[in-house]
Formats: sequence, C-alpha cells, structure tokens
Amino acid sequence: MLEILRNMSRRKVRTGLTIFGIVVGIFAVTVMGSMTEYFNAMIDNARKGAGESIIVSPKGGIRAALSQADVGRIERVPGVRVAIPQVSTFFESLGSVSFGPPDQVIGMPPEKILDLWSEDDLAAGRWLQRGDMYQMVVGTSIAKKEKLALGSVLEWRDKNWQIVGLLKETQTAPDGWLIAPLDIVQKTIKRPNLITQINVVPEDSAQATALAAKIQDEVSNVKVQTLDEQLDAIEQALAVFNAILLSSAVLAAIIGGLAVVNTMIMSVSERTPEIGLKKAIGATNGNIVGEFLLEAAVIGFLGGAIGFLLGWGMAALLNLGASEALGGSEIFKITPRLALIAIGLALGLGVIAGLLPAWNAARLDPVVALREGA
Amino acid sequence: MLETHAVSLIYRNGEGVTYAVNKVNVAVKHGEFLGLVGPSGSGKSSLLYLMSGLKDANEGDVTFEGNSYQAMRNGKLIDLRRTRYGFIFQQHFLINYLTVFENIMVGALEQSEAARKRARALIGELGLEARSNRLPWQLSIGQRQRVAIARALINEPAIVFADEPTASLDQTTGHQVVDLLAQYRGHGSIVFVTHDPEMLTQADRVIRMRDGEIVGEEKRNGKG
Repeated sequence: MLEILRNMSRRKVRTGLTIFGIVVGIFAVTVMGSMTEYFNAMIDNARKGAGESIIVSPKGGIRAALSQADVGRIERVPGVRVAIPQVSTFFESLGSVSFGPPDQVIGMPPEKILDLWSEDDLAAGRWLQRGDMYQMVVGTSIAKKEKLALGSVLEWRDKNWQIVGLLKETQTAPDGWLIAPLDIVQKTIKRPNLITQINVVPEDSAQATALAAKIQDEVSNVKVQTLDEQLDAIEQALAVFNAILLSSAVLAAIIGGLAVVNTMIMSVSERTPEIGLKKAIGATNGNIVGEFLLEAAVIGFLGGAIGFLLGWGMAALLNLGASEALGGSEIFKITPRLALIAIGLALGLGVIAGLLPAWNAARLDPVVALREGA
Repeated sequence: MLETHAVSLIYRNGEGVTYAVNKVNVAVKHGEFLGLVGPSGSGKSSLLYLMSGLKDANEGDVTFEGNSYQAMRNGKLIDLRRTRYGFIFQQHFLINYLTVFENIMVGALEQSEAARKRARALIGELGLEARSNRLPWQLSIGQRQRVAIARALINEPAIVFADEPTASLDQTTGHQVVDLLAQYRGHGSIVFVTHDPEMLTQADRVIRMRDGEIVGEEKRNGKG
C-alpha cells in the first residue's frame, strides 16, 4: 500500500488532476444527492406521521372549492369519525423564494384540532381552543424564519397574531405552517366560506382506503385520497426529478472515471519495464492486476472521500445560507447512505476504470516488457 | 540439474522462419558457473530465456531437477522462477521510487524478518551499507547493478540467470560484478550471458554460440 502511495506521489500533478476529476464528480453527486435525500426524508417523515387520514379536495380547477355542506355530507358517510374543514393560504406572496413546501397559514376549527393532532406534537405552549381568535400555533422553520417564540406577536394581513403554541419539528410541510382558527383565517383573507380541503378521520383506521372509495362514490365533485396515496403521487413526481438530478451528477463522476483510465494507461506504459521485471521474477498475472487495481481504487477512494467531504461542506454552507434566507429550512441532507453511495461509486469507478489497463499490464510478455525498458 | 533437450525458439516473419535457438542441448550442473558467449544475434539471450522459462520453446523441452517445463502448468513455471531462480539483466530495472533496501525486498518470497535480515546481509556483502536508504538515481551505474544482484540473490536461488549484466558497465566495474556473482557459485549455479569473453575468466565452462547453435564448448578451472 505504501509502495502504491509513493508511486502515486511521484507524479503529483497527474495524480492530483486525476483525483480532482473524481472529486468534482463526487462533489456533484453529494450535493445533488443530499437534495434528493432531503426530499426522500420529507416523504418518509410525512408517511410516518400520515396515519390513515383521508384528504378530500375539490374537483375541478384551481378556483374550485369545498363548502360546509360538503363537510356535512362527508360526516354522514358511515365509517367517518370526523370531518375537519381546512383553509390554506400562502403566508407570503407566491413570488418569494422557497425550497420544498411553501409556508402556509392553515385555518382549522380549534375544537377539532385534537382529532387530527395530539398534545405530543407540541414542543411548547398549547393548542388552539374554542374562543381563540387571533392566536396561532406555528411550525419550527417558520418560527425560526420569523423569529417567533411563545407570546410573540406576528403581523399578517394587517392583523396582529399571538403565538400560543410551537410545533415539534417534523421535517415536513407542517414545519412551515401557521395554524389559526378557521373562521378568523376565512375572514382575514376575505373568503368567509372558503374551504380548500377536508381532513377525514375514519372510525377504523384499517379501513381508510375502503372509506376513501366510499366517500368518492357518495359525495359528488370531490377528489378523495388517503394521505399515503397523496404521498405516493408526490414520490412518483419526485422520483423523476431525483433521477434527472442524480444522473447528471453520476455522469460527472463517470467523466472523472475516464481520467482514471487515462492515468492508469499512462502508468502501465511508464512502468512496463517494472512489470516485465516483476513478471520475470515470478509475479503472477493476478499480482499485477491486483497492484494496478489497488492503485486505481486508491485514486477512486481518495477522490470519493475528498469529493464527499467537500460536498458535505457545501451542503452545510448552503443550509446555513438557506437557513438565513428561507427561515431554517435545511434543503441539503447528508445521510450515511449518501456517504456510502458517493464513496462507493468513486471506488467502483476507480476499479472499473483500472480494469482494462491492469489487464493489459498483466498480459505483457516479460521479455518484451524488459526489452522496452532496455 | 537443468537440461535443455533439442530446444528451439522460432520467430516467424510472414512466410519465413528464423531459428533464434536451433535444437540446442545444454546441461547446467549444481554450483556451476556457465558462460554463454557469442556475437549479437547469436541466440545466447534467447537460450537463457528458454532455460529460465521466460520463453516457451517451440521445439524440444527443458527440465529442472527432472521436471519438464512442458508438463508444468504456467503457474508452476512462474512459481519455479520465483522460488528457485534469480535474474539479472543488462539494465538494472530497479524501481525508481523504492530505496535500495526496498528494491532488494521486491525479489523476496515473503516480507519476513528473515528476508529483511538476508537483505541487510547482502547489502553488507555488496558494500552498499551507506546507501541502503538511497533511491536508484542517487547511485552509480555499478552500484545499481550490485543492487540488482542482491535482488537476484535474496531467495538464495538454485540458478542465477544473468543476461549481459556487464554490457552497460566499464571493464573495471564489469569485472567487479562478475567477481561478486562468481562468489555465489558455491551456493547455486550461474548462467552468464555476454558478448565479451573477457568477462568469463572465472567461468567453469564457456559455450560459444552463433546463429542459434552451439559452435564450441570450453571447460575451465578444471571443473564442469
């Protein structure tokens, strides 16, 4: 091993440039990968917290809405324990910068909140209760972004809202939510009867899928999905995005791998007499292949490790920037799985890139190789 | 100990056929210093390659301690070269990023303490103590060739094959190299290829070659 490192250090510039090629590729894989890991984690977390609730949304265009009558119709469907109307609106204008789900003000009837959430979901303070008006319970990222604490007052739509509760971090959409009483939100946005979504809690959570189908049959002009189905749809859309993101990064890594091929071919060419000598004095083809493959693997590993560490640093830096600009959202997530993929990919690329030159080296006729060096 | 049996090495050029070695019979005895001499292109190096198993014979066979090269699978022949033979070439072929000591250890069967002890002993015998941590480019040509000798002797081989080891050296240094090799005669055999008969004054037997054939044999030192 020491021999290999010393051989590599003989050609510092060439070895350095080759490693740099891998570093760039793995850096891209790490940064892009950390973004997809963030989305994956978001979906996973959402799924964990999803339970078996059913989401009912209006059928039709963006202007379509639900009504209190729909809530009543749904509550009459056998198997429904409770139907909770909800209005959602963007906290800021659509033009603001956001990665992941936008910050939203969610209006819900305070008396039904505990049918959907639990006291355990609170990090501090209390849930909304009957009689609350301009009170809010807020998620972690929006609290960080707006510097909100218990008792703080937030100005939104020309009204002052008092923060009475702080949610625990979920690493999902609710981190950017500001939950307020339904009727007050409707009044504030000047849409008194607007309902954008109805959350249905089934009597028997095991029957959620069947109940969703029943609601779909019995209530007209609505789209019914279990939360899991909704997450599946999001996951499918993200899979395409992830594939595009990762394939471009992997392409960069493969180009880095080509640099390893070039370096290893040059190394074999330069060391032909050395190979001839080693074969003459009894090195097997396997010994020679092993030696060159190990060298290629070391290049791959070093490039992978450096690229990953730089990618990690960049992700941390971007998260820091994002935290300041976007209110605490960490949009790049480094995971052990990503580390394994990034370094494993670099190592694999190194070995694959070294295969052909190593095999060519092993096949050299020792006498011919020695003559080339004479 | 080692015998060639009507061994030939043939090069084909299109329709033509050239015998680099033509049905040669040679026997190397234990502890013998055998010189192979001849002009350039006489086939002496080719014969050394056949004797040492670096090249496969097109005709005939080679046996070492009664074992036929033809009957040996390639792995066994490689094993024989590694465990029983030592090699010295015209160029030293030292690995330029390894020290003198490490270059000698390249030839060692295993990286054991015994091998390291033997390498240190060889460094002493060859007068390289002060240079054991130097790199090849920091040595004179003669010193480099001495390191190559030490590398060849590290496993105490049964036969040392030396292919023109003095060709790049001046006469004085060349004779020093021959003297060093000749000292090994008691432990194993030496097959020494050269175009310069002057280098074979210590040989027990000298075989003259021309056009791939043996054209003369001379016994010296009352041995052989």
